[in-house]
Amino acid sequence: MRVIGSYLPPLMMGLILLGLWEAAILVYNIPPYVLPAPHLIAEAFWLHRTELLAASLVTLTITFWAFIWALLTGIGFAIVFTRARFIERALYPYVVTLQVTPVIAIAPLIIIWVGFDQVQRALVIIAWIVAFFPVLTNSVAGLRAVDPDLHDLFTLYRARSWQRLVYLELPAALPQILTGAKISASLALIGAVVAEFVAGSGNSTGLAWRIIESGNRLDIAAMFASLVLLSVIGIGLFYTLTLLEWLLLRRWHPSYR
Amino acid sequence: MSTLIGLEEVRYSYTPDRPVIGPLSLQIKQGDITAVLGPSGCGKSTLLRLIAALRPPSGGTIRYEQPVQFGFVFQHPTLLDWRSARDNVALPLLLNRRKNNPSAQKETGQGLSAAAPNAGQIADAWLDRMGLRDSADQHPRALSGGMQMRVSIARAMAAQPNCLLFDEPFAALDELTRFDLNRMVRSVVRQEHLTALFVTHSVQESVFLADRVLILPKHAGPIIADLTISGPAQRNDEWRADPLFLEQTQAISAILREAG
Repeated sequence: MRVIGSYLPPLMMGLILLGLWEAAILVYNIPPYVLPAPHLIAEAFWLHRTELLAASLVTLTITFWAFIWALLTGIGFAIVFTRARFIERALYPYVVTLQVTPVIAIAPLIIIWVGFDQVQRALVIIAWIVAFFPVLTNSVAGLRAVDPDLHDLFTLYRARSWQRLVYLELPAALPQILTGAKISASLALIGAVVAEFVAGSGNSTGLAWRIIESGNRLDIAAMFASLVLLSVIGIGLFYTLTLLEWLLLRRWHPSYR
Repeated sequence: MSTLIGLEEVRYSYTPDRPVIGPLSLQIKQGDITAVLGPSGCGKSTLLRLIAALRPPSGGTIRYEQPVQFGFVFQHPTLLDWRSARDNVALPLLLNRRKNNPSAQKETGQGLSAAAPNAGQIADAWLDRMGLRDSADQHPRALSGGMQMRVSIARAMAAQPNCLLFDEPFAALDELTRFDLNRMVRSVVRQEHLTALFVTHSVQESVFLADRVLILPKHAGPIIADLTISGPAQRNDEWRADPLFLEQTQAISAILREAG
């Protein structure tokens, strides 16, 4: 009952909105090249289902690898930063620079440098730049926030550096690392879409390219179908990580009391 | 009894112009149960950390006349929230495996109990002794404040220390729980022939627990008073109602009031 209770209101709301959408198009006579009716979007999806699913797989692959690299490098740099302050001081300004420079502005450069024959790799790098920062900052904050008394305890028992990391700092930082990962997953998807837009025709066959191509043909229904798939991927990533968070933290973290 | 730890002219300051402790000289004898009293902010907690070599003193020397293995009970339970009570108690054995548990040098990668077969048993034995037999598999958040503190004491005991340091551990607990834990601490320390240093701001707690009470001054300086408590070896709640208990608490309170 509780499960139904929590899914029912958003589901009802969605159906009502779709109904209003259909009705508005009939009442105000809106042409489908401006705003297609929901049933037309469904039709477009069915018509292009093979290309759309293939394109989804391309975008999802780019997002996935960008996210994995963001996790590995974000946590890795956070560990280095919290161990060696001078490395943090030396590198941090450049990390921030990389973060604040609009990625869309450096994307063409990256594609040129990596090479047009390696577009897939260039796209992953662009999406990684977008996704990497929240994992880094959240991990650094988490690793730093460990109770000093617990550090004293580990010192008292002559814990080696790796023991302190594995038994104390990483588990203590896990909730914050997962928060960073959640933000980063959504950003990886945004990065992948931006990268595909920049890469342009012929080089990329992901959902973003489908959107451009449908737009050029004024096939707005197909455009919406791609858009819906992007949302589905984003929602899927978010809930996968929420599930992972629940699995890892539910037994001990106060937020799951 | 022989001296275990000797402090000579020990000083500590965060900045050169703001001394916190000392110069302070003091002998801690083996088997002593010593309470350290003093106004808040007088550096009692810092003194414990200096003795445990968790901070270097700014001046003076601390000599360990015999090998010392410390157990530290902090102001808060300071448990690892993600580990069960048993795995928290076994933590010192896991960290110090080569030293404490020569039979289990090889990491099997199958978690704690597999890696160190004795650690889990030692932890269970101590949890049992603290009256927590049924809570070994619980995570700290499922335990009350008093139970968490018992886990923390079991953890301090698991590494077989010969000197226990307590940093005002029961201040946040209700009175009955505190009385319980006071009794338990005294009996464990005596049964195991340990040396104990107990920082507290409660005069009653100091007279109940200790054989010796040290009073630190509000501002850095030598010890104000070094008192021997006369009382029975085995203490229970009757000791709290004893005229001798009341007399000594009043005398100590008077000294503390004077110290500001």
